[in-house]
Amino acid sequence: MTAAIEIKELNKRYGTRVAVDGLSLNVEEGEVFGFVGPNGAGKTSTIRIIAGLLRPTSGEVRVAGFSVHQSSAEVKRRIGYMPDFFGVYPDLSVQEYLEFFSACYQIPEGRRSALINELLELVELSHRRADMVDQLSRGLKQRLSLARTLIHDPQVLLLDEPAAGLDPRARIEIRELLVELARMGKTVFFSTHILSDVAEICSRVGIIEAGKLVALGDLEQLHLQVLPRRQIELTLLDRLDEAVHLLQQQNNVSQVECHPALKENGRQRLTFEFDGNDAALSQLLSYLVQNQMPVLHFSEDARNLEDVFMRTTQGIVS
Amino acid sequence: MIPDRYQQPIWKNPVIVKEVRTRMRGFRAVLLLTAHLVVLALVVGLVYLFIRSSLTTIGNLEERRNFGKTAFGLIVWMELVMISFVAPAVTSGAISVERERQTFDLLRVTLLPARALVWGKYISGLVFIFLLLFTSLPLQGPAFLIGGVQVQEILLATLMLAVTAIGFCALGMLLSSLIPRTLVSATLAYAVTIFLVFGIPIIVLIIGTLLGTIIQGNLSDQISPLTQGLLISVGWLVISFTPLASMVGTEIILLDQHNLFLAEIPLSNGAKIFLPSPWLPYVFFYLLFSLAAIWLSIQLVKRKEN
Repeated sequence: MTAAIEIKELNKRYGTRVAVDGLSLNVEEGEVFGFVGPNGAGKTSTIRIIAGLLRPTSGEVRVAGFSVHQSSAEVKRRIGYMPDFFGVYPDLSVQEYLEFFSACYQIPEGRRSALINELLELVELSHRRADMVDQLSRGLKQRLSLARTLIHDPQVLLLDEPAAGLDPRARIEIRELLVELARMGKTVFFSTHILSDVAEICSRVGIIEAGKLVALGDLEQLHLQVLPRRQIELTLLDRLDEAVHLLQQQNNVSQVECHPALKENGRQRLTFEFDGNDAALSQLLSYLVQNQMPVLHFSEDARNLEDVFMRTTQGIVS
Repeated sequence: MIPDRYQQPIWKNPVIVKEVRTRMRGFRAVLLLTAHLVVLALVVGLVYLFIRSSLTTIGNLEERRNFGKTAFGLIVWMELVMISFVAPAVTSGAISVERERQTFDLLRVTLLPARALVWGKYISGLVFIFLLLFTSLPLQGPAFLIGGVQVQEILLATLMLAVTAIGFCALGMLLSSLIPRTLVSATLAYAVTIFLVFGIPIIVLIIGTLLGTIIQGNLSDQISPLTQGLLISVGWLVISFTPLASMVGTEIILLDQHNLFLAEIPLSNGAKIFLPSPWLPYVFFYLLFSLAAIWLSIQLVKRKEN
């Protein structure tokens, strides 16, 4: 099967500054790939090269098997690109804006109206179709940009920081839209530095720093690779001592700590380190429940993702 | 199904549709159009009142012709000034504004080819100038009806004004594709058009006066007829590059020599050389320049960022 995006030994230099340094990765069809890195890591340069907007210094990029350099028209048909800025025409209405881009993508005139209705419904902007683009809030502009990105039904979506600068509600809405698009079979390649977005929706993650890919894999692999021991938080109704005893008997559990200070409403919490995979973690939970432990909450500490990021990157900006 | 190749007729070019729609939206375009016609009408009216009040015998044929010629000349001159100011305004930001409001990348990832973008921007700007130009044509009516102006003159003036608009819009397009900042490209476009419209005539006037003195004075004997012919040809070429000088030159030749296509220039030895009437090289140069500028703009827009 052809990968949706193939990047081989990609290099991009601006004068003496290295923006992308020997980047190689494949993104499979239907995958939601999170491209994570600090500001100035080379995310935007990489996405612009994939979109055919920026000439690489060396290396090769293919989209759906077509070379970005040699088959630009074929690539344009297959990608939907959303930059990290809005890029809207203030003197057009929402409907006119989408009509203009559908004409630019040569969508036959007879199909445009129905297509625009569908897209506005998808991004929940149907009620604002007559409004001027400039009157939309930042979040709504971002949704409109997403609708524009989808107008020619591309297979691959290249989204540069789609949730940057949005309020929490708008961010969640964009995230839900991306999940919906993945369900529709689109390949989503998006860059972000918002780690919770990655944890929520990505099937795989690449971490880039100073133009170099420093980690690649699904979240579980990354955890195991970077943080062999992950921090687990357990909340019980009571029987804390018994739970501690049970956990201490497990080979892959260490550093069991009770947190009496965290007691509230009779609930008792403890944390421990775990060095197994997801299946082993699930078995551990079953074991606790089978032993009549009154488990209220069992989760991985969300800070772990930040730990992965912090441990793989050193804060170097290219 | 999206077609394999970009194949839209020019009137369906999305850029033209969008630009014309947004330009004509609201009061701006109507206001500009009205102001343009009101100013021209006022000028014609003032010229008429001035001539009528200063002459006792307006019924005199020669005086009526004078009015006709003055009104016609003033309208053409004002149209030229209008084109010099409006053409850079409508095209010098065509591409750079797309870069500035960050829509350029969005257009470049679509299937819209660079040539459709450039032609779309160019034609939509030109259409607006043509609208201003052609709506003012009826104001030539009084001059034509009263007399002193021939149909040929009106047609030639309209052709040269249209070609000027074509050339100045192409210049704006080229600068806009070349320079990423609209302020810089607009300033440069204005500088070049003002130099072409007003600067070159002044230079031509100075050089022409000097050359006239040389040729007709004592020095003329020392300059061979061949050199004189060459100097006149160079001067002719310079005249043909500038709108005002070539319009005046064409008019003089049309009135004095009654020739639409050829000018007869006498040399000091009594020989004559024949040169094409300035409007011919003017139209040729400006159309050629426009094509070259548009081609170059397309190449610049097509260029991938390094």
